[in-house]
Amino acid sequence: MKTLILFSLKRRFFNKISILLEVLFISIIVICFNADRIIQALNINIYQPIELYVSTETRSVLIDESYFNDAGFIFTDEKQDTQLNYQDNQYFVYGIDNNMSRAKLYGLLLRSHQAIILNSSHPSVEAFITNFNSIQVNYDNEINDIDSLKQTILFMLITSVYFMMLNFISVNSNEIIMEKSTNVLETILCSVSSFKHFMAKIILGALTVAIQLFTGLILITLVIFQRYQYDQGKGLLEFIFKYFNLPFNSMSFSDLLNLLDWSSKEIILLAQCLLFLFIGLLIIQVLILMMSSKVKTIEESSSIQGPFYLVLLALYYLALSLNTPDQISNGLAYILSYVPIASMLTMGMRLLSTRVMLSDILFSLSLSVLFLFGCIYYGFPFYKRGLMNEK
Amino acid sequence: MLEIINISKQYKQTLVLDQCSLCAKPYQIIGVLGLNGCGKTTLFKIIMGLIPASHGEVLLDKQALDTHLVGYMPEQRSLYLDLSVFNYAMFIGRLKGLSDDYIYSQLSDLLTLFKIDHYMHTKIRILSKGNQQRIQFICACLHNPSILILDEPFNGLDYNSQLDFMKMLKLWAKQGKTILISSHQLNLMDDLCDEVLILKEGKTILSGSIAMIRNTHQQYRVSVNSDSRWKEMEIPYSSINALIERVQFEFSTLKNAKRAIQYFNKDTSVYRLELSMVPLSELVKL
Repeated sequence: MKTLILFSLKRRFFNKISILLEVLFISIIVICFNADRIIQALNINIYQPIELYVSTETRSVLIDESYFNDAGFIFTDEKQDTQLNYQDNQYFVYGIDNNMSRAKLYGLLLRSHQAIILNSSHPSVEAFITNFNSIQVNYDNEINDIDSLKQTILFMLITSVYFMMLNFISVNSNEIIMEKSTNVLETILCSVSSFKHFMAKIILGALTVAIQLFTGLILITLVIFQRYQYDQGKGLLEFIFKYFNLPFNSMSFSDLLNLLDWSSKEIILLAQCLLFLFIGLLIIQVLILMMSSKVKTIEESSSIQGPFYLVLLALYYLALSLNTPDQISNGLAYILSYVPIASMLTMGMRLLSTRVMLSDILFSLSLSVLFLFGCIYYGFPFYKRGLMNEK
Repeated sequence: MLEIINISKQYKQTLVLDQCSLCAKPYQIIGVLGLNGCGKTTLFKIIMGLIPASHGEVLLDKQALDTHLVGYMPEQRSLYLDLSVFNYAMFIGRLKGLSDDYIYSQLSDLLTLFKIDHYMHTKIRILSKGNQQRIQFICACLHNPSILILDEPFNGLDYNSQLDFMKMLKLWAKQGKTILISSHQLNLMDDLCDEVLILKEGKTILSGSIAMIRNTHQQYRVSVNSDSRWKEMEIPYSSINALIERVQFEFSTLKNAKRAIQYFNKDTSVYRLELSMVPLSELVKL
């Protein structure tokens, strides 16, 4: 029995693939736990402050500028889209369209207001207490619940597609190992070139996602239609209203659609997000194919899938943790939106939360496409050697 | 005409094939022989373009070989066991770019030829090893290739099936196909092949027609019982093999073999005396 256990353990953990992936996995963990040092060494400025145009009059009613600097705001004398004005005991904020920055700014403005209150005389204690904790901050635009809901729905759709990918990590890997173990691969490669085989697998992976997505959408549409026939979806939306505190009370599906008011803008946004996701998926596909081609046994195959699951899950949780306005507009999420693979989620988050310049989108897309072609170009010889178990 | 010109294959420091050359014409069956690990399968894979050669080239009629013209049957079983014979043949045929009608007609003809047409819709898993081997061969021939490369095709076949298979190959060779075949059953190859290429550790040690090899490399064997006075024999021999009950002398000329026969005829203790030609299987061990 001991021999059997040792034999199996050795096959599972002491094969080239396991060791290689273990090294990769350790490298990723080491990088994650030393991210601050690496960023410092590379001299990358993750937290870019928000430049805020503040007039001299407004500055006179604010607390010391260093407090604002610590919170990520830099005052400038040059006119900007982002502005802060003080007028008639009210603050007017322009160009800041995310909750996190607004909250920080509100805190600082409240402190400024309180400093003014403390330094001035008050007719009564009551007036002092009333004024102390209340300031009026006006924003140039309102972040409404429906916009947030739209973003949530789009983000849910994107992450659903992302999780479909986890499913076919094993499919592609198992398919190659099956072709190799049954020796059908030799027969196949007598009829098609190894490059065609490689491309076929990449396309197959992409088609799998597309078909799954399409099938899923059809199914959901059918179920929605069935529910609409029953009570126009009112019961379900009421249930959601009750338990999830969403503004769907006494609404039907058609009312909800009208409320959400999907425009071509959102559809273009979704298409952009899906494009980034799709290219990211193709890159992952190529990497999985490269690794799978080296696999010779089922044990090795399983040792590929594990780390890939973990890495993709880690990427998902990283994206979730970075899904804050600050991170998206200036932080790590902003930087990751240009990094191939990571951009498939982080660029989507950016597109949903902020206005992204077309040049930024194209730059990030170009990087991803270049990385994809690089993977195909440099990965194919590796794949070819792996297919025929060439030493 | 298929020409294999100075093919070499090197894996890091190991030379698996060294300047291997071969010329195969239509109507010919050429046996690639050698012990395990001598490079037969590597040579076939290089011809099929499955692995690149380190040096050399493979030509058909002076042009780079188009492997679509070749039917290749790998050594190991290469089948989707969960598919039926029909579905597997369809898969392979479509990969080769054949139409469904053509695949069906070819498959029917070949199954009938092998007398297994009743297995058309049977799952491959259920078939015997021999029949699986036949299916693999049939699928390699679906596109009616002009060149057949068969790596150990007799594996798993019983003796009668082997003979049937050989008849089939001879028939196909007569129809103008070029057949390259490797096998461990050297007794069969002796009868089947027009020419042989004998490899040892990647190097060609013999090549040409079997008749020519016999003429130039044939050894004559004289066997006597081991309690005879064989130690005193002084006629020059090329090798000696002392077994438990008999001793085998091998002579490079018939003249010396006959002299040995005369010598042992005079020995009264000899009760076993044989003169024979060393078979092809022994030549491979050269």
